[in-house]
Amino acid sequence: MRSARFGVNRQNSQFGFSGSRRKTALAVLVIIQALFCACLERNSSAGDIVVRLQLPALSDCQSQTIPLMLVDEDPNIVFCLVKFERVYASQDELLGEFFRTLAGHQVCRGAVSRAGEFIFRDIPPGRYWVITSEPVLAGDERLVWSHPVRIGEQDSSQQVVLQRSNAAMVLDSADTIF
Amino acid sequence: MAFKKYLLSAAALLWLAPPVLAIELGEHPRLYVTAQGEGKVPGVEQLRRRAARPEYAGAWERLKNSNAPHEIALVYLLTGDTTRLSLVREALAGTSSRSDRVVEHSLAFDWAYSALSEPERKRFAARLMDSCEELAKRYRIPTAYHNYCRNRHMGQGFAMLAAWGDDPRAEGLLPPVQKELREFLEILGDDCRLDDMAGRAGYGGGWPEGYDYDRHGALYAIQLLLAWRSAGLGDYITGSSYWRDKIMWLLYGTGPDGSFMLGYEDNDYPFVMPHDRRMMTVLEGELGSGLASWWIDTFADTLRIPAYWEFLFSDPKVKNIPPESLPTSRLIEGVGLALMRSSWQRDATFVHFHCGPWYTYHQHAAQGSFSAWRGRPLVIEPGVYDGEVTGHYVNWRIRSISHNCILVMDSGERFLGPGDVPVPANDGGQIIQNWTHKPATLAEWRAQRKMRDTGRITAFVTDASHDFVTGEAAGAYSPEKVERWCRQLLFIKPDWIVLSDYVVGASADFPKTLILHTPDRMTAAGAVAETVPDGGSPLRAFSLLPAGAQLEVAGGPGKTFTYGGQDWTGTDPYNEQFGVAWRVNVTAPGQKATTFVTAIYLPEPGSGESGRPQAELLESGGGGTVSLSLDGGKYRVQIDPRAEKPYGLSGPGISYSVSGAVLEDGLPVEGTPVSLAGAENKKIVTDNWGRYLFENLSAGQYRVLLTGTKQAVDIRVTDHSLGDVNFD
Repeated sequence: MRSARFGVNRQNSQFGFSGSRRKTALAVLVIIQALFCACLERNSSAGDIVVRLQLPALSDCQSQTIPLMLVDEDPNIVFCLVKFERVYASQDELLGEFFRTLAGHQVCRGAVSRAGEFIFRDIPPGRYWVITSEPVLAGDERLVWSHPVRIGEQDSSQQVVLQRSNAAMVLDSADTIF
Repeated sequence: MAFKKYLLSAAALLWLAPPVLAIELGEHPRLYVTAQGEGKVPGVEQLRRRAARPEYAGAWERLKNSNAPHEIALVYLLTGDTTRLSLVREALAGTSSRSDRVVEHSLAFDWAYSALSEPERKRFAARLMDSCEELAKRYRIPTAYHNYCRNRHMGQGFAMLAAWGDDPRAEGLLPPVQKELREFLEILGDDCRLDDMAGRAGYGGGWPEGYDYDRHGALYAIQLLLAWRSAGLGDYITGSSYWRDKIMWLLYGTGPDGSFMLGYEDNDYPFVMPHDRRMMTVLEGELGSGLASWWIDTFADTLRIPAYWEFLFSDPKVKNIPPESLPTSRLIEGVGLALMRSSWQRDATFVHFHCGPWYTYHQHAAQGSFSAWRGRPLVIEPGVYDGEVTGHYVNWRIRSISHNCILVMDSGERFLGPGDVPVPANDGGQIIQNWTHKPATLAEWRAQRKMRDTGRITAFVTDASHDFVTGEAAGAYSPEKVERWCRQLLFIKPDWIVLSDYVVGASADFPKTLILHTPDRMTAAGAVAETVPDGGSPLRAFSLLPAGAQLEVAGGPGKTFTYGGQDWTGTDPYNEQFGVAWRVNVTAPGQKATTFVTAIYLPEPGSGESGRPQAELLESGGGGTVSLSLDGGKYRVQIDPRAEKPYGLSGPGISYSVSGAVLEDGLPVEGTPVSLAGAENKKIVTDNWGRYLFENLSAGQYRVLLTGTKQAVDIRVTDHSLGDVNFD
């Protein structure tokens, strides 16, 4: 199957040999065709993952953007393996090793701002997890997300909304409860 | 220069070298049995005498006829009969990735050891170590709270103990096996202060995954502990409260007529099984427990357990002790489970209430839920668990809506699901924690307690006439949705449950709904919902508060698992699970803080329609104490929905209790005599948690005193039981 990018390049090469008005008309046609091909390509084999952060309690001291990773390995499996391999590690050491190990399964990186969104673009079909690649400060909590997302053959985009309810880990240091 | 290099490398080697292993294991046999025997560990001669005793004749006969390699090996050990050891050798030449099989191979190796040649010992020990590597690949959950971890731990521990001295890899297993043993022991709560129990799931004898997975988790654990002790590495059973309490967990979790065991959490075998008998058998022998013996004879007599287990661990000398002298209800603290019944008779009413922390997979988003049984299931938690992660499991079985909980609907809430169901449906319920990064140890649980401290039982008093329990479960919900949910459950034995629910949402715009599931068709008219059973009296639920609540009946055939316009029906039900149920949704008018008060009549089986029980609100409280009457004024009840004031209950046959604990620097003191003087005089001795309980008291002035000391507390019993009358 011909790729959209190849189509654009070929049309551009034709464009280089034409005269003024036809050139403009051709250019418009080429752009439309390129966009159309790109859309076709995305619909049939790749999609976007739109990540939004909804966290009213986000701490002021948290940096303006939250670093994200898209990984193709189940973080719960990775976390278990890290624990097997780092038998005597503390919780923080485990987390550090967890993020480092996940980086080995990284598909791409990004960052989401407090009120904005981030889009992982042109992701091939498959199962992924959106990871916040460091704990996020919110109030007196540190939160970690490992949110699953699946891109199907026909998906153009999937949305992942990170909330307190779907955090994968919440850390703090409260007192004894019983 | 070369000398310097030599010195440096020698120092580095010394620094990197593993510590010298300080343990020495005894000769074979060392698993469950030793040559001489000592204390609770039987010796070979002792077992030979046992084989000749008539009370063990049945087990011994089964052992002799067994084809299981480890049982053949035990017969060889006791009789010297080598005729069938070829079967043992054949088994030991193989490997397994199943830990129960590895245990059997380890036992066979250990018990047949004296018949094996030196090359055979090395070869078979190597196979055991190979099996350990297979186990490590199969059971990859390193979580002290989860049965999978116990599974691998048991297999590796047994193989290590068996192969020690014959394969060098065994010594390499010691550090991780010891570490996981320590992690397991510290979640049990043994020898801990009562104010240091956070994250200790085993406090009280329970298992966080519920009764079915306890058959794996705790049963694997005690097998390893028995072998650990016989190998001379330490006794973690004798004197442990956990294993004593395990008897209570099983006894109180068994239905009054033995037809079920509590099916809460993931459980597709909610009835007594051979695993339970195995556990009770070893506890009968270990602790000389007449209660365990009574339970086996009453509920598990027909269930068969392995012959070697019965032969080694049962004790026919132990006399049955029925539970009649025990309180009828009990709190299993670590998991937050109140197990209540109206009597020890087979026709008793049984109620469970669960409000505890979240520890591990197989738990449900259902803190604050309850169920009721009286001759048959009346209030249930429908759904089918079959071990698969499906839409039914993620969107129904583990969710609050499939339990008797409170839902608070924030339509924008998103939940965390597995890779196969990445966007779970929104039921308005509690957070799903099954696919979070779960804590592996007590330390991790404590580091994550903000998330895992989902519920706790803050009050529990029991009396022969009634039980009262309070649970706080806001921690199970998103803090952006629920600020408080305080549920108080008053069980007036055997007929009534009164529920008080004080719910504070983060917004008045989040609708709050109380859910009750029944196996029978339901109807609702006005503020009353009732079942339409095939025969006998209906269950009636009276919605007394809030005023203006809307009752809606949902569920039924083809619609049981439907909500939000979607049907989450899964596989067909099996093993007493409920594939069809009805539910009544009691939805409150929009308010930030809402009080639900619900009275539920639990009908006696077979009783006719004569005399329709009634519940009536006397005083709505205006934010304070709520008063109601039941059965036309027979019972009067007061409840403060905020749980700031004690409940009140009066009526014919109602008595009260006084309970507390005797502590020394926060540690429970067992065996302390405690006296009650006043309107009635009683004496009791504190249990393994330093607790005492005086029941069946009438109202009046009392003094509780520690016998032989001057320590005393004066109390006045009015219209409620008193808990926490403590001495420290």
